[in-house]
Amino acid sequence: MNKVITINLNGRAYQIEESGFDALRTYLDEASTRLASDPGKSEIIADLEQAIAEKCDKVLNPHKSVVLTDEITKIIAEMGPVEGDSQKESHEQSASGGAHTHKRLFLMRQGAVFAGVCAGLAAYFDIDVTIVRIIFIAGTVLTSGLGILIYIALAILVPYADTAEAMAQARGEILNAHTLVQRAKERFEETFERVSGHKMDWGESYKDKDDWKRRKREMKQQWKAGLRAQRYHSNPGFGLLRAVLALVWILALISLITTGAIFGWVIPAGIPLWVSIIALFVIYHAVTGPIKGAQYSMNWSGTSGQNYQYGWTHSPWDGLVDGLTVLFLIIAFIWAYQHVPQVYTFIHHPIAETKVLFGELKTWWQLHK
Amino acid sequence: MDKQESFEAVRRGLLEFSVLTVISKGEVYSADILAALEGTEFKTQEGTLYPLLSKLRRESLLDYSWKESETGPPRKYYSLTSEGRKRLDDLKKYWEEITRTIKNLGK
Repeated sequence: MNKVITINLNGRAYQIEESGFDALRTYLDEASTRLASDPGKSEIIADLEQAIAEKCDKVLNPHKSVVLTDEITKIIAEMGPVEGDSQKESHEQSASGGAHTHKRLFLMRQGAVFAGVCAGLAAYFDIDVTIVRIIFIAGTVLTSGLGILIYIALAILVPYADTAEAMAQARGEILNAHTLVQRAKERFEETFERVSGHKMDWGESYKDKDDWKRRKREMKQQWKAGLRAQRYHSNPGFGLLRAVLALVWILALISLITTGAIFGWVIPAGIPLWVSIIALFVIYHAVTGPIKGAQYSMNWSGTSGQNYQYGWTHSPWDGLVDGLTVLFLIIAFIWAYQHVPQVYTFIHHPIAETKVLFGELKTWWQLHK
Repeated sequence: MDKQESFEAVRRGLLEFSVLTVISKGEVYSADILAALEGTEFKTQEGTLYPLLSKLRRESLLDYSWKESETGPPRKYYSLTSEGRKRLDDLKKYWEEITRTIKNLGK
């Protein structure tokens, strides 16, 4: 038992099996794209519809009122692909091919070591992340540090891929909300034009008009939801707050390193400087974590359908924050390596130093219990 | 390789010629054109024919008139305009010239 859809071909109603309807729609959509630059487009489409209608008539009789999917497939094969301007066609094909592989560079939290630059590059070029890292490290060594600067620049400039759609885009797959919404909008307009304008319509018959209206309304709502989501994304409030927090954190770090105290608050004696630096990191992430979460949830709630996600979950501020985090991680590490004997010895004798560290923590814990 | 495939370009170039020739018989319906070409080297499909007819009409080589049909909506019957007829004559002459040239080149 298959669902039947009633369509209007050239002013006459035809009942077609649902999957046949889909095939027919695809065929006519394809025809209309290929004829996009043809001034006689609407006329040709109308002629095609009439030819389809006549072919449908041939398979129908008083005892058979529905055109089956197989019959539609056959009819489409008989019609043959619609030939547009051949040059245009190949051009369009390459353009659409470009859209398929249209990639954007994103930072990837998944599998990230620092900011996810290498993971993002790996997804972009479709190679293993380890290879990217090796190239990056080798490049950094060969250029005596230029790689780090490039890394920081990328970490600051490139947005994070946080939505499913951005993730797909990072890999060059088509799950682009913008094109989805755009496509829905275009289709809606085109259909509207055809339904209201031309005499020879390719639209649902009168019976389905309410259903058609409802679908149009839904499309519009989804489109609006997309726009709303975009507005939330471009709202810099959260991003700004996080940027301010990052600035405070950086100042705290500087004050801790230079004076051994955070904004005048002297850290308890016995806690090594580097432990307080790590503690500062942890605190920073603990504070910014919920803000990030709130930001995302707001973005998610701003969109109704899962498919209609807008890409910019992060405002540019976030990139700055994350970039600066990496920058200070590196600077702090280098500084610590040069100025803090514990770090220096830890790097050179990690196992022995870990034991010492645990010993220190144990004595500190026992002292303060 | 199949003859149809290998001489694709030739057939493509001559399709317009053959369509104009078919329409020169008088008022014809698009299905009639397809039927006339069926079984010949110029066998074609709606997907190819309709854009071509539309183009030829825009070049005012042919025109159509609506005619009622017993079954279904009115149909478009195509006929050549005077320009179309002239074009077809020119094409025929040109074709004869070309075939003569080809023959002579082979001598």
